[in-house]
Amino acid sequence: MPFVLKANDLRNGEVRYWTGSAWSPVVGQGQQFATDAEAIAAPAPRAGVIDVYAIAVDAGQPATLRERINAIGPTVRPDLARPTGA
Amino acid sequence: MANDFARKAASVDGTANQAPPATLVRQRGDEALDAPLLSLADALVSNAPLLAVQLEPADDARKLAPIVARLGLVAIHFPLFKDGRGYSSARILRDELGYTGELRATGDVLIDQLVFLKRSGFDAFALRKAEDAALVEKTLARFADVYQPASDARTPVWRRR
Amino acid sequence: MYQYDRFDQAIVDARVDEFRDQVARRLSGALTEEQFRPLRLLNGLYLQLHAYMLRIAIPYGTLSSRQVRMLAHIARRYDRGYGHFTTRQNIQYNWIKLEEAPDLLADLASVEMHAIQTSGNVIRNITTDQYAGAVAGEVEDPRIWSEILRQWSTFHPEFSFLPRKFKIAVNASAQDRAAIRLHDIGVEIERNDAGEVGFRVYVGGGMGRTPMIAPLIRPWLPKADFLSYMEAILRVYNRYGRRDNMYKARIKILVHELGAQAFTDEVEAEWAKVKTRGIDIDEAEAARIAAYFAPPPFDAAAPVATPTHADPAFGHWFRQNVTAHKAPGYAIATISLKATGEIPGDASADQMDLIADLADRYSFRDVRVTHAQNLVLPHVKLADLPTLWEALREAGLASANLDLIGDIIACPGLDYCTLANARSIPIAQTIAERFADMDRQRDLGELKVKISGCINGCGHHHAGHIGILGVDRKGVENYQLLLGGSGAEDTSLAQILGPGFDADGIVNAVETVVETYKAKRHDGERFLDTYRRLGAAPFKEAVYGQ
Repeated sequence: MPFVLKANDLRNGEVRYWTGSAWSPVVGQGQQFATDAEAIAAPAPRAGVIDVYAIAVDAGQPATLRERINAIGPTVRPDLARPTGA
Repeated sequence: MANDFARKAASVDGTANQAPPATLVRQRGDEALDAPLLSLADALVSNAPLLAVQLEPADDARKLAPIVARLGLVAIHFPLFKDGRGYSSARILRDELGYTGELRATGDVLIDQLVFLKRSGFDAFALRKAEDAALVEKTLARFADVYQPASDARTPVWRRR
Repeated sequence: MYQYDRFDQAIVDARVDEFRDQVARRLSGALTEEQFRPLRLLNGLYLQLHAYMLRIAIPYGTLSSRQVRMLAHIARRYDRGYGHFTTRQNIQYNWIKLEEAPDLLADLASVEMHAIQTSGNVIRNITTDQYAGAVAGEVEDPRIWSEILRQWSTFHPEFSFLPRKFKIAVNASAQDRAAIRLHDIGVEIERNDAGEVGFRVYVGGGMGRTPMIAPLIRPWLPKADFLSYMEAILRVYNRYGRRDNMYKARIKILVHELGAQAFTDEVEAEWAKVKTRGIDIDEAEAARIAAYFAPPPFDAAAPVATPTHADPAFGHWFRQNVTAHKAPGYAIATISLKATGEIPGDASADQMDLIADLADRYSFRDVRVTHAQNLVLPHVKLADLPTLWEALREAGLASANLDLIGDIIACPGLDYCTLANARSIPIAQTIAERFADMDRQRDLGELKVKISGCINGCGHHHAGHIGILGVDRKGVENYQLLLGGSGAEDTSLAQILGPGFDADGIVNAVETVVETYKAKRHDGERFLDTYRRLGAAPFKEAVYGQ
């Protein structure tokens, strides 16, 4: 399963995914890497982001429930759902 | 029994923070004692008339009671700032043992702990990171009012009401 | 309620100033995340799943209407229009920006509020009975000593880097609505044979990974010795609490490993050394603080007749959500934040503003937060209850389900929290919907369901009559069913019934347990009573078919 590099924006805490050229809030725009190590080694700037790690994706969407909720929003508040580029 | 707990309470060794201090902030008028820092065990068996001791987090400060009159410098080591046992050691030294010499915080000491350290009786701070003197002063002066008595001379607000 | 004097205000303002400085140093890069994280945690600012989460302190669950309006403002200005009341009587906001946090804290400080020590390895919010100062039979208002504890513990220099968090609860009634024996320190305010008021002190309770009921450490402690004794307990913990393993670092582990008697001996020995250090406040200061909690000017002529309303729904709400008050003509009204299908404990900014208005009109501007995630108007005239109820009903705040199966405690769970393994809110919603029929709920009677999304137990599942613990089973949410817990004065820890269930299964299992209770109960027995009488066997058989 491929990996996408994920972080949180320092200033507002929102989730961000590395697209290859920018940190985007849309997980579907995340650049995919073959391994988590490669994702972490990507030249994504660490300034302005915190809690950087790699998440597994399946067809560009997060593979685990936690990461899906992180990408979309609370399942109990569909009115606050964010786009995932799915 | 207390010793068993001191051992179990031992924190993970903070070897990351053994670099020499970048700034020594000292709030005493006298000269610092220039003597090697002995461990608690070594200090207790030393005959020197004036001693410098370093306490680790698991050390029982009360053990210094028999030699407190010969202590010229006590350094309390914080391997990790979140291990707060040194604050209790400091207060015991000041309040119970009546120690009036230099009480120095060493190790993982950051500017954000200064107020707590000072209130616990420390009068010297070996800051891990070099800090602007003005920032140190501003930090120490920020809280003009305190709720509870500690080991500094400050009066808790309820006595001032 | 307590009002800040210039000293209290100066302390909170200085903290805002300090935090503004720390945030600026973080954003400029002068502080690394590793250095900054504990500092922001000391101001209750967590990085959670969706954004920063801010936990604001509501000392002993007491708010003025002015403060409630500020909470509504915070929700609108800095968040997404709602807040979540927690099981420690605090409030949480889930969509906070770090760069706006200093302004938010400044706004809070303007109404005597803060987020000090709502996180970190420090003494946290002091919690107490939500009916304090209103309920009959109370020995003394527990908020007086809660406020005294709040001041003593705020920025205590020796106890700001404890092995782990520290939670204190205070109670002063025969009924325990504060779950004191499930706290690090539980304080019971009592009267001795000589008629003097003093304290009974329990140490070493807690939920989470290793739930424990606190043993009694000191059967009687006079007021004059209270703070110095607390200081002795905290110093013993600070010196000897484990720091090698964060899952074994609470004081309950120390008390358990030493044994209650040996732990007591350590505290008494330490206390002998600190009791003369001037830590205890004098009688004048205790009286000064007590004066803030003097009862409001009750109308002595308030009619005592039971209020009526043409709509029978009012009668249900009156009987379920209204508790007897010590002053004739008055009552304590619980505002349910558990409407069927809604998120337990959440309130919108509009609802908060309404509650502030209602508090102004009907409750001497006094609002309380309960650890079951509801709100309370503590001083309402009986005669005003019908109009109050109408206003609540219009806003979806009149669910007549206090302590019934629909009044579920649920932590935020995996929908919000980085620590969670499973979602808890949808389970609560589904159970509430399954039991939406209020006649059925009333027939079942007192039935406290508590749901946690991870072993940390913020949903208090160990204290649930029915407790549910969400776990991660190979990437899929799985739910364990526990029965027989209680956080009241008859404290007990819930016991796991058997293997876990998926999300549908747990709701069915709860229904099976409930129906088993109904089939086997004796007259007047609550679920908890039937469970204690029969044990787990009949429930296990019904659920698992063995």
